[in-house]
Amino acid sequence: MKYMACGNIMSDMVEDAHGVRGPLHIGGPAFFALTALRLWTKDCKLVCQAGADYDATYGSWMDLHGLSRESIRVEADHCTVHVLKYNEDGSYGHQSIYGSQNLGYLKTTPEHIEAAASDDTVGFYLAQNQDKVFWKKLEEVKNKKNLKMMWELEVPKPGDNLGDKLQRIKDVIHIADMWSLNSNEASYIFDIPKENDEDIINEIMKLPVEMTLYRVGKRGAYAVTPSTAVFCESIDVTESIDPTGCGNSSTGAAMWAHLEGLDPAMVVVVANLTAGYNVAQVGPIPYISDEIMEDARRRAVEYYKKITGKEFVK
Amino acid sequence: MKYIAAGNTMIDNGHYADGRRVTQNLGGPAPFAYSGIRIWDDEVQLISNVGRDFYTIFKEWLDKNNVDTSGIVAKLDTSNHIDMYFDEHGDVLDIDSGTDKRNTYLYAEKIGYLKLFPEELSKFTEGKNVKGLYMAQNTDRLIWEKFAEIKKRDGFKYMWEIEGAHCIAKNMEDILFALQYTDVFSLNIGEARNLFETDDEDEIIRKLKELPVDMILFRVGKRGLFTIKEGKHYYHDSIKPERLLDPAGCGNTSTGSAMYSYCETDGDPIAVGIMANIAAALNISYYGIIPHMEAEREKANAMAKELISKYKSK
Repeated sequence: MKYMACGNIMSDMVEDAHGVRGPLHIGGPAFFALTALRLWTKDCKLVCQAGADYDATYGSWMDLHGLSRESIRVEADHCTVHVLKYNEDGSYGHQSIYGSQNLGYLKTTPEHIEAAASDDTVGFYLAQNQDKVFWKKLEEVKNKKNLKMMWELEVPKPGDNLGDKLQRIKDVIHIADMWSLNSNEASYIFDIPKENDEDIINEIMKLPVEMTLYRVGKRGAYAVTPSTAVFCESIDVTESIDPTGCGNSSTGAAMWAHLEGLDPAMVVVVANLTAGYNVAQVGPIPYISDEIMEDARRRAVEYYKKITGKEFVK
Repeated sequence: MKYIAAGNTMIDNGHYADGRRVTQNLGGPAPFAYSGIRIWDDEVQLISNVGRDFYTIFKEWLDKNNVDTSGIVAKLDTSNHIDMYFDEHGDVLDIDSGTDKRNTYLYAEKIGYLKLFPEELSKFTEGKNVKGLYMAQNTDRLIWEKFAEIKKRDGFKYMWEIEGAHCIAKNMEDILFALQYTDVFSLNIGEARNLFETDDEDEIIRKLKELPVDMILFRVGKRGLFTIKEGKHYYHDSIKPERLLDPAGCGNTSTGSAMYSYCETDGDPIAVGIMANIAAALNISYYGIIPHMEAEREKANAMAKELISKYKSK
C-alpha cells in the first residue's frame, strides 16, 4: 500500500455522573489518520497492534471501506478502551478499562512498520514521543524502506515532564519529513504564548522538516515549510458535533497531500476539509463513498481558490 | 541455557519506614528471579526489554557476575524507574512512577511497551534445551495461547508468578486457563486473599489444593511460605537473614529459586520450599539484587543440605 497509518487504535465511552455508560466509539490516532487517508485514496492501510476484540469494533468499518487487515497484529485480548467520566459539575476524568500497560504493550514498534511496508509504500503516519532509541530504529527502517514519515507529536501527559523540551524535539525531528502539532504543544515547546502564531511559525520554520501542519484549534491551521506558511481557516462541511480525532485526521490528510506533491495551500485545505468531515459526527466518518471522496476533492479545489485567489493546477 | 528468567526489569528507589532511602537498585521480577537461580547455577539467562540506561547503571554488576546480556534488549532511552515505599514490616505501601522524570511517558504505559512478547521469548527457547523458565505474567488469554505453543514446542517446565493486579476472583476462569500451561504457580498471601475473597488462611490453602497445577508456592511474607503438592501442604518458616536491609524482590527471588529446585529435584516440595527461603534470606540482606551471586553458592548449598536433611528427618 502506498500510505500507512501506524500506531495506536483506542476506543472510548462516556460515563455520566450516575455511572451510566454510553456507546463505544472507535478511534485512536492511527485509526483517525486512516479514515483521513481513506477520504482521499483507497491505497492505504492500518498498521497497529490490537486486541482480539478489534474485529467486533473496528472490523465492520474496515470491511465497509475495503481496507486490508494484513498489518494488524493481534497481540492481546482487548483493544484499549478509555471511559470518560463526567461529574455533575461538568469536570471529567478518564480511566483505561484494561490498564495503561495494555496500551503500552500494543504500541506499534519500528520493526512492525518495517514488516508492513512494501516496495510501493511511500509514507507513513505515526504519533510518537521523543525516545531516541525508538527514533534510531525508526531511522533505520525509513532508510531501508525509503519511506517518508509524518510525525504527529504525542500529546504530553500529566507527569510527563519533557525536561529540555525543545532540544529533545531537535534530537529526533531530522528523522521525520513532516511534522504536526497544535498550538498548546507549540506554546509549551517554544515558550511562546499560543496566540502568537507568527513567532511560533518562525520557530517551526527553523526545524529541519519539509512541511509542518500547525493546528490552531477552531481557528484552522497553517501549512509551514522552511520558506512559507499558508493559513486556512477551519472548514465546516456540515454541523460541528465532536472534535475528537480532528488533529489526527487532518495530520493524516496533510501527509497524503504533501506526498502527492500538492503545494502548501492545498495541503492545509485538504487537512482542514478532512477535519470538517471528521467533526460532523462522534467517531469516524461513518461511510466514505466514492461520491463523498469526489465531493471532498471538489470542495478542496473551491477552498484552494478561496484562499489563494488562483485556480488549482496540479 | 538450562534456565531462563524472563520478563520485566525495574530500577527501584527504595523508601523505608525508618527513613532510609536508596536509589537505583536493580530490581523487577526477571532480574530478581535470575538472582534466585544464579545463586545455585551459572546456566541461566536473563531475557528482558530495558532502557539504554540499564547497561550504564548496572555495568559493574553485569561485569562482576559475567552476566550474558544477549537477551537484554534496549528498546527505549530509559528503563522502568519506580519508587517503592515500605512500611515497618517490610510490606510494600505504595509504588509510583519514579523520580526519573526523563521518562517519556507514564510509567504503566512504558512498562507495557517494555513487556516481553511471546515471540521475543521464543527466540531464546527454540532448540536451546531449556529445562525451566520463570516469567511473571498477567491473565491475558491471547498471550497465554501464544506462550502455550512455545512451551509445547520446547518442553520446558514453567513457573508462573502471577502479576498481583490480575490475581482477583473475577479472573478465576482465566487463571484456570493459564494453569493448564503452568507447572508451578507462585502467589503471595495478599494475592490469595483477593483471589478467593477470604482472609482465612486454612480456607485459602484448601482452595489452593483444588487448583489444577503440579505445585504451588504460597508466600506468606515474613513468616515464610508453603509448598503445596498433590493435596498436601508443607510449611517452611522463613530463614533468618544476615542483615535485614531491603525486602524488595524477595517474592521474585524465592520464586526463581523455586523454579530451579523444582526442576533439579523432580518437584520435591521440601527442597523447593527450603531453597526458596534461602534465596529470600540472601536477597533481603542486600539493597536491590544480590551483588555477587556465585559468591553465595557454597554457603547456600551447605544451608540447603542441612535444612533439607533436618526437615526430612522430622
